[in-house]
Amino acid sequence: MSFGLEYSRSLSQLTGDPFQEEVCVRLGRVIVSFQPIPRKPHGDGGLDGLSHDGEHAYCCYGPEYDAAKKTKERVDAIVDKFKEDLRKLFELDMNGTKLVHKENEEIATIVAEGTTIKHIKLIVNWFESHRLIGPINTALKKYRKASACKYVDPTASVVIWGPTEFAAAYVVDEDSILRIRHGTLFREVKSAADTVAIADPTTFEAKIAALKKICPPYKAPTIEGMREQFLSDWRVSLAFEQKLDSSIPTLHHALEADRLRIAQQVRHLMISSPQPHVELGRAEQIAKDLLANDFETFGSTLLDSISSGEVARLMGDCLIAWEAPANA
Amino acid sequence: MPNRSAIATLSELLEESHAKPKMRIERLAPSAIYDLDYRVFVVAAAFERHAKAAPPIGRRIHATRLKLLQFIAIRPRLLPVIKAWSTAKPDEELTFTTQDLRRGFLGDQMFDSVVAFLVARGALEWMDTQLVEGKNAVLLSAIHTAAIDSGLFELERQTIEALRGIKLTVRMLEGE
Amino acid sequence: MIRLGHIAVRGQCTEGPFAGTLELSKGLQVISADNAFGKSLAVKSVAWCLGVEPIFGIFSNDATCFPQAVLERLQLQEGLFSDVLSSECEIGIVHDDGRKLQLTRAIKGDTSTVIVREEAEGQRVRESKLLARRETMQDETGGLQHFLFTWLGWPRVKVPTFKGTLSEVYLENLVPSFYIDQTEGWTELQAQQIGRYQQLEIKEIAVEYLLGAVDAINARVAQRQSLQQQAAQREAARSIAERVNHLADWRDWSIDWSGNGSITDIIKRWSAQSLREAFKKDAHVDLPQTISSLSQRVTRLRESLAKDGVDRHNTSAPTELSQRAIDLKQRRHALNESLSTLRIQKEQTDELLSSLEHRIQSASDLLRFKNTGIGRLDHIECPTCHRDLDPATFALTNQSAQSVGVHIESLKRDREMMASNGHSIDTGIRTTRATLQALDVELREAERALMNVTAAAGAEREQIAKIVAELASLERQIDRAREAMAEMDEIQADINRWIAEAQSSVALPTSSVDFSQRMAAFLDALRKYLIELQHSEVSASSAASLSLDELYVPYLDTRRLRSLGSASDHSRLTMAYALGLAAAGTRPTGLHPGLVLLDEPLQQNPDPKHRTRFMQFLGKDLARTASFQTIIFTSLRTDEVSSLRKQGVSVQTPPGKKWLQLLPVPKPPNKTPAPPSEPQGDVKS
Repeated sequence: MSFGLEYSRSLSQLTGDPFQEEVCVRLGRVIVSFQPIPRKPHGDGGLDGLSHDGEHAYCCYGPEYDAAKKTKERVDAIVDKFKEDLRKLFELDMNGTKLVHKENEEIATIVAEGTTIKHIKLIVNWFESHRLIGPINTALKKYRKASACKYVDPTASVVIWGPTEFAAAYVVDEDSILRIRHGTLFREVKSAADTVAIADPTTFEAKIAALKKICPPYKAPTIEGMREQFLSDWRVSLAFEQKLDSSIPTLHHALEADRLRIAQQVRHLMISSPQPHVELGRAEQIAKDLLANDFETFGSTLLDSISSGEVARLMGDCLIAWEAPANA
Repeated sequence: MPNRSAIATLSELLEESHAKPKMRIERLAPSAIYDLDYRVFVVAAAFERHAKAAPPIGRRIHATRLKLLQFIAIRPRLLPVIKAWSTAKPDEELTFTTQDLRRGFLGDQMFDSVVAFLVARGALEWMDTQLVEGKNAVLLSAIHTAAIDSGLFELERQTIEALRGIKLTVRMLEGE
Repeated sequence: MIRLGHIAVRGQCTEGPFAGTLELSKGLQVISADNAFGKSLAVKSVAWCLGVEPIFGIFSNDATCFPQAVLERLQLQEGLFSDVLSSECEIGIVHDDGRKLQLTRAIKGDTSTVIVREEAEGQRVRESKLLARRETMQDETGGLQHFLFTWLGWPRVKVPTFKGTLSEVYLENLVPSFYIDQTEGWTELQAQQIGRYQQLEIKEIAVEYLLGAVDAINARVAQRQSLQQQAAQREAARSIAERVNHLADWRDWSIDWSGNGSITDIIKRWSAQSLREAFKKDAHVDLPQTISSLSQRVTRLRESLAKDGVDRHNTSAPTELSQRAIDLKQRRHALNESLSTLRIQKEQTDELLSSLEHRIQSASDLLRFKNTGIGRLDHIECPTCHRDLDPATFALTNQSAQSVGVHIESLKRDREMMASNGHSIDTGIRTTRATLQALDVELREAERALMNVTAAAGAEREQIAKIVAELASLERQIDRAREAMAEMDEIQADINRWIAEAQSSVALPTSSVDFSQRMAAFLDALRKYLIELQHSEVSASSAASLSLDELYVPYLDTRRLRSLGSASDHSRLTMAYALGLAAAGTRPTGLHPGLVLLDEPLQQNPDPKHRTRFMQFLGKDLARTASFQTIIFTSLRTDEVSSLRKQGVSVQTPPGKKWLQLLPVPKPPNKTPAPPSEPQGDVKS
């Protein structure tokens, strides 16, 4: 089998982050000016990569293969995703059926001033139906009309590439074949070696940064103190959970179930309260009450520690989120 | 005066900023070590590599031995602990961590449930304290082989292999 | 321009000598013969004699691309075979200026060399033996490619590779644009382009080269090199920043000196303040000031030692020194405890990280396990009553793939946090160690001073000993400050050098008008060929929407042309691309050799409509009157052959069932066959 064929077949097996990562790594190898766009701190603005001084944009989507999904469902999912990416680039959003302007703050931090995107490549791990093309082109026409085209040239070209097109676009070398053959191993080795720059960005840190943006500047020390406390409690929680898993697995299982109950209980109270932040503030007490069933015998000091740890996990795992006020 | 909790601080900050908090339950999922497929694989792999032939009834293994093996396989960080435990003298007091290990694996109720499930499925059968190959024992070998062929669960398999070199004494399995 | 004059294969078998020859003429010609005649053998011989066998994905000098007929056993007639003792192939090339070249290379034998025979009017025939592959370009006297490039008048161009080195553009990089092999050549544009030389953008470079746009290649290379240079500069900046941070960490100074961002950003940032200024501002470290004030203290102490008297009643010296030593020891103890705590934390963090890594790997494997369905216990039912077994009955759950995926994301967040924590602990360990080291030196000095003072007899001597000890300590501090300053200055010199190099990066050349004209000619030719080949998506009215992207891939509007139309259109596109490139590349100053070889275009999709369109195309002016040579190997019906000949298309139908025939009388190899002026006659099938 030729390298190109093997590469395209292997690429079609990848989904989600691994697919995007492979596409970006490959583009980075064949286009020296290629710049991958990380998702931190506030998302990637609809872009996964740029090249040629910001004039070429790349959006990737690698949906998981679901044998139960019909072709139409798969096509619809891909079309919807790419339409969403395009809307972000054109700074548009759907209000019902109407297209309205929605500022894309992130893209301003990514695309250089004065540059407009002239070529957009939509790269997907499955392109076996030409029915992807029509809806995207139709949407594109509408977006061009409705948009102020601040970041995208009105005549920008948009093309869709599946694994075959992507493999054919650039000569496939042995490194690419090795990398994709050992995709999982490669990714794990890289992420194990690169302890700080992990594929999934530091969403907890992004949340802290977001909080600093919506709070007045003099609150920064308070936020930093809160951050340190959450991190400390989170670390303690992880260490405790590991200990529990080795020594009392039944309780570890119970802890996981309790974690869900805590989140559900806090959410329920938040939804049904006119002051949801008050209920959120009580999360530790709620956690303590729920955990007492299983962990009361550990003593109140340890129970406090477990409770604060579980709440820290809710924050660290980004179960706790918020909507910034409209004028933030 | 007690320190204010971090979540209370967060709550106050969000209130002052007029931000509306939400809880995204969909971001919570149980640990994969409680998944049936995963646990069946680990039991199958441990059985395949540690069960001994005992004609005419087929291969068999002491249930507690299997329980300990699968417990370690899921937690490879405990390999040094079990090695130390295995080489400890009879009158030597167990270290804190080996005591934890003992308590841990004996308290692994999920293993008991998985075994009950596999027995109901016909993959295993009880014979006193031993678990022997059942009528559908081929299911276990099939799962094990499929995982090897696909290069999955390498660490668990390596741990199970490493355990073949560690003597698990009756004292370890059944206590004093 | 050149053209192929002939293709020949010959050899010796146990039955005697054998051979097969094809004489070729200018312009369009079709070689029609049945399957298994040996057409592909003839096609492969062209590539073999040119020494470009890497396009078949095989090693240099490896003749396995040839069929058994010339390697092992030759089929003489039905059921009769003869063992091949030796074989070779030969091609004749004719240049427009009258020069001729004959390349002969063994197939079974010494495959590493090619016998080259040059003929030019008024000059004697020259014969040489050249290396087919090894150092074929570098070897000025013995390399085949070096010779060919010179003979053809082709410039040699170096292009960057993935590894950052430069590589020549070889003949095998250019051939896939005009030699379309039956097996893989039709699957994609430049399907047999070489990937393993790791040349960057080689497909685009091959197109530009054949069009004669060498300036564009040079501009591309310069841009690449500039970008690579920038990448190297960014790496160097990061390395310098690491040194600065290391300098700061070891002395527990806090500084914000980053090597991240674009080259311009870094230049701006590093030019805004010197390292000394940055340390002064961020860490309140002013080494010259420190050295100056320490030096002043030394001067004062020396003066006091030399001139001032000592207070005989002042007995505080031993006490002060003793207290200082005690304070230092207490500080050291606290730091050691802190270090010990950090080490334990590091161990725990590493263990947790390792555990998280394992959990992520297991969960990822489980996700694959679930997605592929391997090993799943399907159709779970009770073996006794055959009712379905619900895992929930046993308090067990089968998680969904989505749930496992969510869990993996959560584990990754935990891992990220722990990794960041580990990083902080590492920094803490480093700075604590550095502080301990400095403190140990101070403590040794203090203890030495105490020892000297307690050894001194009398208050005067005690005081003198104390002053001397203080002097020694100050001088050591000055030394350390000077060392730090020297290191800082060294790094600053590197920073200055870096800024100078970064600022001197040259402006990049831009595309010329000439290049645009060449591309326009190519696009125009491509349109014409697509229309004449009757590509289902490209007509006279839609052809205006045809464009080439920056990779020279054809697009119709916003859609890749290859993704449009039927399967037959793929081969039409490949053919149109090769012919269009030849048409544009054989214009004045183009570098295309003027030869296109198409092996079995009809086999790519043998539906009747495809055949009809192909036949129609061959009869058109565009095909028949092209200035370059087009050789098509295929299998036509008798009526198709007649029809084409009536339209003036040269069609050869070599006689016999097999191309390779036993020679009736052994004769020396035909070295210089005269090219025929007329095509061979029909052989009734």
